[in-house]
Amino acid sequence: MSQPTDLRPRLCAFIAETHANGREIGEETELVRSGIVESYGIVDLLLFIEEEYGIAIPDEMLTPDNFRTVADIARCVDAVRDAEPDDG
Amino acid sequence: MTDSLLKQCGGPALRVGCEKSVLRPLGPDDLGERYLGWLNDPEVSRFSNRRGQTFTFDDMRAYVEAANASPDRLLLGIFLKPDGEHVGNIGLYLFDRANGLAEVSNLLGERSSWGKGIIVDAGKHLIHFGFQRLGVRKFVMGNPAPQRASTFKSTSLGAQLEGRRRRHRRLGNDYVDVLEFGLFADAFYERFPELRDKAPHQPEAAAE
Repeated sequence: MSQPTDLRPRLCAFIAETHANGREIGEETELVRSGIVESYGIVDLLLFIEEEYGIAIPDEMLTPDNFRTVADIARCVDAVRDAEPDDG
Repeated sequence: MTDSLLKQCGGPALRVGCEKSVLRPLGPDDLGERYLGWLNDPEVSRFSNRRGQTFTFDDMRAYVEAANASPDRLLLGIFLKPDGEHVGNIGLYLFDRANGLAEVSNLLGERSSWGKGIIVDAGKHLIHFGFQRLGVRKFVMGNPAPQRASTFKSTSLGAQLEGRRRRHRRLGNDYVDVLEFGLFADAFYERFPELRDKAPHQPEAAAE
């Protein structure tokens, strides 16, 4: 399973390929307001994060502010990870 | 007898202009195979209370007539700009006038219109109409928790998660949680400040 340290570039690449017709997506590219990603697209991102990183974003965090840019998504994922109990 | 909500809003000439579509009341010409097909499409109805039912022309006609005659329901078709293609419907239900409570429902029947932000756009403008013209104080909305796109649509409108009804609705073979959201005008206009001072849409003469 991928490590979250590569989340930002991989998210940028995933969005560019699946939602932006190959247009370059940066960490600060507006995703929702620009129409690049809308509600069904958010589901794609959630599945990608869950499958690649084993992290499930809780319902309470499904807000436009948390998905505004790749950087915002990464901060959201970090918050979820930080809230998870340690294994050891 | 109380006038229908549609009549109170200007009747068949009512038009609510959105960025991607125009919302208007449904007439007899809108009640055809296209609309009926949506009602009977299991994929379209997958997360709806219509799931599993089969509808006839009479059912469809009776539903629209009842909505158009209702004192507390407004049913509008979603017609895409610029060509006016009918792609779905959206409704507003003033279910508790005394407390200013309303809910919005939608049916986006044309699959080619999915994933294009049409419902959020239409919902945004109908909610604006509700706050400005109908005296709605609070909109409520809910969806099964697994319907994550619907959750995002609600929060995109400024709604806040207010509760979770556990194992509340059947989805397939399981009972799933239902998320409940509430939307007040201040949160809505904070998200859409460009609408705050926009005058409520007035009925205009029908084109035909």
